[in-house]
Amino acid sequence: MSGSLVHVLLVEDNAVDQEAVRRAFERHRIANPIHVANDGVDALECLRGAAGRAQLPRPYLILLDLNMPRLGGIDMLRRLRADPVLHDSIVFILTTSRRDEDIVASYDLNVAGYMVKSEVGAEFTRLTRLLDHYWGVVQFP
Amino acid sequence: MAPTDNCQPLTLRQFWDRLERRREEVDAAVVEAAGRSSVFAEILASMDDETRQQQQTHARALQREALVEGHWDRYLEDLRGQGARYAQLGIPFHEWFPIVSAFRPPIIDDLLPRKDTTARGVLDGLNAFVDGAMAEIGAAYVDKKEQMLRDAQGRLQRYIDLVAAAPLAQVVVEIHADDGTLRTPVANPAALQLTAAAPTGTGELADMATWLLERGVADECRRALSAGALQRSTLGPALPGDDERHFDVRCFPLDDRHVAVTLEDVTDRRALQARVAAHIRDLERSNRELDEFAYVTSHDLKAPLQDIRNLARWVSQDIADILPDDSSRHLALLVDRVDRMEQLLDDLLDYSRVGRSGGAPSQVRFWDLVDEVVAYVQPPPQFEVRHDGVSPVLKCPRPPLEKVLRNLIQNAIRHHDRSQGLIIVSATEVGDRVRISVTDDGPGIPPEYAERVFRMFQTLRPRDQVAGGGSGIGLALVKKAVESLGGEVGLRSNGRGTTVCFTWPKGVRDSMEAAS
Repeated sequence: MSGSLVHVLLVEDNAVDQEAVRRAFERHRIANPIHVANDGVDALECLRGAAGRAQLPRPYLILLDLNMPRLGGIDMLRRLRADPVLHDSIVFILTTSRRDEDIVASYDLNVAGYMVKSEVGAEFTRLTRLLDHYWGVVQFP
Repeated sequence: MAPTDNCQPLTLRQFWDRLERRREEVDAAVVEAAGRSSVFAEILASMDDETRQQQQTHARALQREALVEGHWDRYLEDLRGQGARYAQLGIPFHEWFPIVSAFRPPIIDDLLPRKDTTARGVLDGLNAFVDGAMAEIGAAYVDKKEQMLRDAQGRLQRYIDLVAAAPLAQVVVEIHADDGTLRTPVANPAALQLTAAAPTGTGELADMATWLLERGVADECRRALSAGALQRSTLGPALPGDDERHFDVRCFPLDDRHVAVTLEDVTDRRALQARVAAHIRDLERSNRELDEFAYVTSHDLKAPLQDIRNLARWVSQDIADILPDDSSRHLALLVDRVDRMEQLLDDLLDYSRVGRSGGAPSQVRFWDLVDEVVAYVQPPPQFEVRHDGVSPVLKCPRPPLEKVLRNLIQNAIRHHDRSQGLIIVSATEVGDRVRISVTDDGPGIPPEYAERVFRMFQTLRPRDQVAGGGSGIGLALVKKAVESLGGEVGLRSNGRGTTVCFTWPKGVRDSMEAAS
C-alpha cells in the first residue's frame, strides 16, 4: 500500500456525534479526510459513486453507526458483504448499543471491531488512537 | 398306669389316649349331661340305640382325626353345624355348653390320683369357675353378635345412601377370573346418568358394563387387578354422539376380582386451566413488550442527553478564556442537570422493572451479597459497612434484593452529614421470612416525613445539596420491591441516625422437605 491517507466514511445520523468525530480528529491532529453519510442508503451511494456523489476512493475504512433511518447499520453491512466490489471493506461499528444481538450480528458480518461510543474515551481519544495505529500498521485491500 | 407328671403339658396324642382309656365313662357323662336339658333329653329319647351308637362313632372318628392326625377342619365344621342346629332349635348356649364340656371329669380323674382330695377339690372349684365364665361369654357372644350385626347393617346402609347421593360417578366392576367377562353389580345414580346421556344408553344398570367396555375402562380395570394398584387415566368423548365432556378415571382393586371405578367430570376444570394458561401467555407477552418498551424508551431518551453534554463541553472548551464566571457556572450546572437526568432515567428503568420475577431463584448467602453491593457502591474511605447478626441463606432471585440493598446503602452514604460514617446491616430469620435492616448514623429523618420519603421523587433536602445526586426514587423502589413480595418496609429515626427495615421471603422450604 502506498503512503496515501486512508479515507474515513462516517455513517452516522446524529449531527452532534458527527461533530464529535470531527473534533476528535482535529484535536489529535489527524489529517485523514472524513466523508459523512446520514444513513445506510447515503453510505452505499457514496461507496458506489451513485446518485450524483463522487465515489469514495481507496483506501478507506468505514465507521458505522447501527440505529439509523431508512437503512440501519446491520442491513447496510449485509448489502455491503453481498456486493462484488465492496465486500472487502474494512468496517468498525461505532454505536450506543451494548446489546448482545447487535454485537453478534456485527461480527457475523465480519466487522473489524465493535465499539461503544461511551467507552471510546472523553473526546473519543481512544477511538482516534486506535485508528491511527490501525492504518499505520495494517495493509489495506 | 402312673399318672402323668403334673408339671409337663399333655400332648394331643397323650390327651387322645386318656380319652380312649375313659371312653365309656366320657360317653356316659355326656349322656347324663344331655339328660339334664329337656330338649336334649327328648332328642336322646327319640333316638334308638343304633342311631346313638352311629353318632358316637362318628363323633369319635372326627375327634381322632383332629387330635391324633391334626386335621381339624371336619371336626370344627361339625361343631359349627351343631351350634347352628341347636341355635335354630332355640337351645341357648349355656344349655349346650355343659354337654360339650362333660368329657372333662373322667379325664381329670385319669390325671389325678383318686386319693388326692385337696387337688381334686381345687380343680373342681376351678372348673366350676371356668364353666361359669365361659357360659357367660358364650351367651354374650350370641347376643352381642346380633347387636353388632344390627350396627354393621346400619352403617352399611348409611354408606350406601352417601354413595347414591354423590355427584361423583361410582361403579363396582366384577371381572370373572375364568373368562374375564365383566359385570357391574353396583352403580350409583351419577354413574347411571352417564349411560343415560350416551346415545344408545338407557340409564339402567344393565347398560353400565357396555358403556364401560365401549370406552376402554374395562382395560383399566384389568390393569388395576393385575397390578394390584390404583390406575388413573383420562377419558374424553369416545363415540360419536358423546358429550364434549372429559373425565378423570380411577380404578382401584377391592379384592382379587372386584374393582371400584370413579369417574370425575373435569371438563370445567380443564376449560379453566386452558383459560389460565392463555392469560399467563398474554401476561408474559405483555411483560416482554413492557421490558422492550422501557429499554428502548430509556435508550432513546438518553441519546439527546449525551449530545447536550458534548455540546456544553465543547462550548466551554472553545471559549474558556472569554467566558464570564456566571456563564462558566451556568454551563457546569447544565452538565450537572444532564447527569441527573440520565441517573433519573436509569432509576426509572429500575423502578419499572421491580416487582417482576427478576429471574430464577438461586442460593444467596446474605453477607456475600452485602459485600458485593458494598464493592459496587464504593463508599468513601471513612465509611464503614458492618455486618451484624446471622447470615441467612436465601433461595431467591438475586437482582431484586441486590437493588434494594444497593439503594439503601447508597442512601445512607449520600445523605450523611459527616465525612465519616458507620452503616450496620443486620438480618434475623422470622418464620419463612428474613427481617433485614440498614442502620446509619447520619442526620436522621424527622418523624413527620417518615411516610413521605417512600413516595416517588421525594427528597428532604434540595437536590443540589445532596452529594452524588439522588433521584428521589430509591426508597420508592425499595417499597415497591418489598411489597410486591408480600413484605413490609418501615423507617425509624430518633433524632440521630436512621434505620430502614424490611422483610424478604426466605424462599427455602421446610428443612424436612429440603433434606428429602
